[in-house]
Amino acid sequence: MAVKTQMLKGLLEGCVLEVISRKESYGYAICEELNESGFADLNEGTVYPILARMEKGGWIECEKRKSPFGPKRKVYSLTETGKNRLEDFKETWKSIKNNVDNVMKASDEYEDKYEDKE
Amino acid sequence: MKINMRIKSNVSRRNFIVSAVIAGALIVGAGLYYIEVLGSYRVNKHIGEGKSLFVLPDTIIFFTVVLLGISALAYAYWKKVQLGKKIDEMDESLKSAFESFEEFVSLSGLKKSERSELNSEVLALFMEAHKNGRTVRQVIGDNQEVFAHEMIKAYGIKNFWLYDILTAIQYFVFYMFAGTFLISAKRGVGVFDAEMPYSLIAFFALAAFVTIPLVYRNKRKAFVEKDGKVPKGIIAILIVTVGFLAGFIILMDVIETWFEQNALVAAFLEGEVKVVASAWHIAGLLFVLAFSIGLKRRFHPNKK
Repeated sequence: MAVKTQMLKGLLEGCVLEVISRKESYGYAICEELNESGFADLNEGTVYPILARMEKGGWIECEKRKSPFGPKRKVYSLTETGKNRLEDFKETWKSIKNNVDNVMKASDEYEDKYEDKE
Repeated sequence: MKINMRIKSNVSRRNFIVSAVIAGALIVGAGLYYIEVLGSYRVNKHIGEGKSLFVLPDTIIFFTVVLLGISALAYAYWKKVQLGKKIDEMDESLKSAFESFEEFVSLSGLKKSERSELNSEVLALFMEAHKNGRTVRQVIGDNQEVFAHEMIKAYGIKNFWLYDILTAIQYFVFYMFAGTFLISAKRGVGVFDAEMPYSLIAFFALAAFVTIPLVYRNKRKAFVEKDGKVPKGIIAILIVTVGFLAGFIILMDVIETWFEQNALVAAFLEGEVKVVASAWHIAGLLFVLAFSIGLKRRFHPNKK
């Protein structure tokens, strides 16, 4: 569980950037979109601090717009820094995914070979 | 139904603004009547005897600004009331969590604008969650304190101890000033002649350097949800403060009884000192106060 949380922390930033890059959006909707993409356990308690960190870091910027429910919502869009970060994330993710796949594949092949010998 | 509610809300907002403007106009009108008809301005040496205030070109601008100011204040109040109503409509767990969050944020060391932004963001989240029938646990998880910490950390807040100590210094200096002024008033002596008992200074030091950081810490901790209820920070304040006060009084009594013959203890219990003996002392205390405020800003927990 702790491994999953640690892995998620880094990955979520990239996923949030990707969601915002498609269409400017606000915290609640971003969380819903991530839930629909498979991060079913994710809640706003995790997403909002990430958004706040990214906003303070200058990766995303916000515009306050009227909400039918209460105070104005923060609608986020990517900044140039954010766009660069997203590109970096995509490249890093591809490379990591590739490496992990290779390691897993090699492990599977090794196990198959070992089982055949037995 | 939604449209009806919206229309109703717009009508009540318009009525309120119109009422505020009318009320403001009445206040301004009454003021003008007082000044123009009954007041002393008619013999004011700057205007000339018997002349109207309106001979001054700034008068109309001044009263227009006053009128606009009253209307703006009324509108801001109306908005606050409306927001309060919306908060009251929320699910009890969300409402309670929001109130605790607000309290937690108020002690975080964040600037006022940041606090307001953060509260507004979380309130918008809770209200949307309420409309969708979600509970506080579904929205921010089991540990609300972690959520609050994460949000504050996102604003750069890392630790609170330095902020709390500097706040304590400010309180201590304030107590010294206030104590001196009260003693001078009570004894009927000048401010520079007022002597403060050592024991009172010790009590102020305890209150500022122990109680304040403890209370702040407890109030932050009070955010943690327990048995479905969020404990109120005020309980912690009362317990700690009353506890300290009682403890201090008992301690003084015990010391007096036990060490009656001890010269040092007697000097402490009966000794007095002029905290503010001259303008230089005031300057010194003000310097400490300004220095601690400056340090608080320089090493503000949310400073990157």
